[in-house]
Amino acid sequence: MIEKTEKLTFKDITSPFTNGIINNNATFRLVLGTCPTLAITTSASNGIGMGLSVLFVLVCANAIVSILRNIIPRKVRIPAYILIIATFSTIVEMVVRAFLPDLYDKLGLFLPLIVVNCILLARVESFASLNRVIPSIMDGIGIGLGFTFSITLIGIVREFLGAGSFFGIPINSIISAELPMTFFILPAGGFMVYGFLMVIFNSVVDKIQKSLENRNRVNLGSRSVNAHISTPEIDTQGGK
Amino acid sequence: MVDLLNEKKENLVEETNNFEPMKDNGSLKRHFKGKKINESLKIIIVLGLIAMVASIMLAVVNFYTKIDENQQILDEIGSLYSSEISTTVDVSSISNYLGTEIKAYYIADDGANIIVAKANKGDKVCYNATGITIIVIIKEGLIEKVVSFSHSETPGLGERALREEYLNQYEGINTDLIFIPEGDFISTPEFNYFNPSVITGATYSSNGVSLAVKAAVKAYRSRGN
Repeated sequence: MIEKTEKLTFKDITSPFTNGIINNNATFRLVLGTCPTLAITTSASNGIGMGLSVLFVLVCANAIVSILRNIIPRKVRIPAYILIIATFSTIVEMVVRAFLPDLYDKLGLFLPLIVVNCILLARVESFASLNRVIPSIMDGIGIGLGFTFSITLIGIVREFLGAGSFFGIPINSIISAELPMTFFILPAGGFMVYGFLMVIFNSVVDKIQKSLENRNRVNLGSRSVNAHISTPEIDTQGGK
Repeated sequence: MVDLLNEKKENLVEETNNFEPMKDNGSLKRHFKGKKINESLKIIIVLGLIAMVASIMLAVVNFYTKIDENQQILDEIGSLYSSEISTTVDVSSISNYLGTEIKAYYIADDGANIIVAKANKGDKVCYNATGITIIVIIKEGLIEKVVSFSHSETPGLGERALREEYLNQYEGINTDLIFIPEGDFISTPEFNYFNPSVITGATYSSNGVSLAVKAAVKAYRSRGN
């Protein structure tokens, strides 16, 4: 938590963003919002649509909750957060219905159900209600982009294997073989793709983090060795 | 941690020393009652203000995003059929057929009947809750065109029943060959009638399309055609 009097550093602003995409990835790391993830990822375009809708609601709700964090009484914070989230999810629903009717039909019930998406309440309660506006907005953007990336990836894999297309473009025009395996469009296939991608994502991220840690350790080690070598000289000089 | 506890303890001792007893029991009660009222009032005001701002925002967005479904249907028909619409039939007088509804019925200048029929999700009909809405154009007793208007069937699965290549099977079919049973339309045999093909893996969606076409033909016949 950043105190009100403290000045925001560059890291305070950027770390919620990068954490939201990688370390706190809602789908692959925190395993939040699994219901819409499995239900709507039958195609990649659905994934993008849903992800961007959640991103908008998350950024707006985080910003408003962060602004009002000292005004909203603790006792009624959850109803107040739900009210704020519901307002923005209804706005998204209205806008998508008016301007993207095809996407509205495809997302169906899951668009108004953004209001009960646990990613939103979790971030609003655990981050926005404790932090200042800019880090909260960055957290919303990071988590939202992480969610969009994850569900679009799941959608791409499921659509490619299950429907034989990529963003609605049939793959048969590129590959002559008959690709579609309907299983991947069905819920069981969704679970399978979700599981496999989660394993791949986590193992890749863990490997990168370990290699970065090792590099840092090596750097620190070489610095301490240099310091150790130079210490006696200083000591002897000081002694003399 | 220990420092924090000690600090808290000191604060508590200080507070106890500074404590000024209330004059009597009644004023103590009034003191706490007043505090509670203040808190409740704050809760009501904050929630009320949030709700008020939210409703204003929603009203503004609703004003700018209001959609006219009839206009949407007319725009779609305009892009499908070149002839102008001369008559709008009152659909409230048309009885709904087995979980379907006729959303709009127009008659074009050249006499073509343009019917927008929707099959709602039911037993073995449509996979997703939104249902299937199609536009059926019937001219001189023949089905001229069947086009998907809106649906939420799964891409690559049920959605295949809404593709042009599947819907084309209805083109040129005489409406007299469309069998419209009053009971269960799926298990009723359709000997000597047009039997639409059903896509494997998209049975419910194919049934949805078939039911919507039957509803449109029924509406067409109800007008004495």
